[in-house]
Amino acid sequence: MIEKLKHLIYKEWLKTRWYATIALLLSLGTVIYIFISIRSDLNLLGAPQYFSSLILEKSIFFGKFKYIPIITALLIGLSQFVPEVTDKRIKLSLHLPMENTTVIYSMVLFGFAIITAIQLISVLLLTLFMSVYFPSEIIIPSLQTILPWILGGMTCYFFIAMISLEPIWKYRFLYIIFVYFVLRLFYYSYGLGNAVTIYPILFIITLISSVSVIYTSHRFNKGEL
Amino acid sequence: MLNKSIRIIAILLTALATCIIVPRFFRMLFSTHSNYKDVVYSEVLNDFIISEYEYKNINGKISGITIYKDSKGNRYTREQADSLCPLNNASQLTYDGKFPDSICGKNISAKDADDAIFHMNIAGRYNELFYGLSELKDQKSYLSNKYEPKDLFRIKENGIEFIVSSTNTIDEKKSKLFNSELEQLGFTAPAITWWSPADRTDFEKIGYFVLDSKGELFRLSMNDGRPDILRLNRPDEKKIRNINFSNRPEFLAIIITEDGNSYVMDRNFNYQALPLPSLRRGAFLQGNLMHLTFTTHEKDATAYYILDKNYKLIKQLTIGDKKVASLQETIGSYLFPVKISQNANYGIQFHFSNPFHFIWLNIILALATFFIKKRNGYPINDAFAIIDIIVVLVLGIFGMAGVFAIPQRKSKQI
Repeated sequence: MIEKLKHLIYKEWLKTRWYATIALLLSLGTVIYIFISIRSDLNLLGAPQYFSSLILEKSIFFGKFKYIPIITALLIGLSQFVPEVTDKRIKLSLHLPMENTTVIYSMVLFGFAIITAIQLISVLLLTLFMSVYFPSEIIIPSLQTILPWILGGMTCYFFIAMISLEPIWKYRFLYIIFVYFVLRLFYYSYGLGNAVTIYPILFIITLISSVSVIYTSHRFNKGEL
Repeated sequence: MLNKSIRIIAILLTALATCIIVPRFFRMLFSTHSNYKDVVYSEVLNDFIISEYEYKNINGKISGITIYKDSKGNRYTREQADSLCPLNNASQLTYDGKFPDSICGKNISAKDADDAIFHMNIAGRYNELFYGLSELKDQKSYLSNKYEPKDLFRIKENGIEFIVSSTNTIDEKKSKLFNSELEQLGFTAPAITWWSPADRTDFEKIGYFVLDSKGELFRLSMNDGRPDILRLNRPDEKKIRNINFSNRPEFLAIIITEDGNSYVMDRNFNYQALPLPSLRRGAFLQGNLMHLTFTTHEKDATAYYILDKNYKLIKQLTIGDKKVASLQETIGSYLFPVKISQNANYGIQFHFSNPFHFIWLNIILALATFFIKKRNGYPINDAFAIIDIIVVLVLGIFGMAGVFAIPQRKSKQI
């Protein structure tokens, strides 16, 4: 069983390695850009003026990072599942002597792990850069603001898996509309540190989205129309 | 078993989708009318002038006009209403050539009347989005002609710490200097919160009002790099809930205590109690040359309190907000049992509709679901069929959308 899982994961890695690399480089590049931007503004405005505007206006200096988790989810999710559903190749995987749910979830958890690793590296680097210039009173609200974006990326990935495995196009279209409205909750213009009180709702939505692929994979497997 | 569980997940997802999307489309179906209302005190009448929109359906077309009336129901035109409140309408009356020579026996110029008008929002609690990091302006910053903050500070368990913004390090020398002064005055770190005047000149002169961990109040400022700290009395020794600074020369701030009482603080830091009900939920203040009008919102009413310039209550009026529910509100109370809102200060809040409305609708929908499933040959006896009915009973139209949107096999074995 473990051997089969290893082979399955290796297959997923072969599909996604270049896209994961692109996503990682994009994330790290954005973080480095933010760092350079902060440095530039500090030199241009002077530290007192920069901090004054930061504290008074509660400006979000890391706003460029906002949609990076979603782009990462799209890169990983589409590279994983589009080849599988093209010509219904996933049926080969589902014919393995393993539970279908185990096969599907191995794929999903692999993608989730890759996305989490990329986001974790990016956020750690961003925190490191922030700690060079800012005290914890600015770093902590900044991380609190970033968390909904990361949860949004994870939710987006789970829904990509769900939509990809849906056999009927008209339902895919309906799911896309639904996912758009759900993901908007993660990307409202929350003020700096303002999103903390909505975390429970966002976590519940992410959790529900993580099991959504079971439904469409079941429909795919049964050939339901 | 797994298949049926999967179906329940799909139903819940569909219900989640519909409860996000349906209200948006529902709102688009109705056009709403503004419920504008304004109440102004008339020093001429010694009564209130209420202006509000009145809507009339004329040949199927809704049109609205602004009406003016006093608390006894007597109606006035706009010009009459302006003349009855000269202190609030000095500009308009001057333009019309109708500004009186004297008001309440006092000679007042239109310019003085106009300059004295101000508005101020009184928050009942301090902003939860408080980062604990602020800039401290030196009182002598005007000498350098650079209107820039000198120092960032925070007040944690170790006391006050000044952060050098260019290097993100602690200025130990300055921090020690200020901490020593704070300790002498009996300050107990960390600070709960602090407030600063919005007015720039006041901010430079006064600095911050800081609440320490024991609820004592201090004025924190810096004069030519040296600490200028004062321990202040609390109003009637009560715990302070919030301080709202003003830019008026006659008073510095309005302070709300934890028990809801309110006090006005003058520029010598002396207090005077205000004869108002609890302001824990905040209020709105309008002022003119002779009066102050405090407006508070209760559950279904708005109350207006008129104080003179010595903060004595002259008159008050309470107007019920309850109106006939609009068609949108009525239908919404049946369809949407709860509205969830999020706010940084108050967190997630649930606003429930009349339970007798949506529960009855949900029961009807659950019965309808039962009969439709039975009629169409779907299984109705097993546990998952009962779960379907319960989902509709709890989630109403959203649950029903989920149950019928997700296909179900008619045979018992799926």
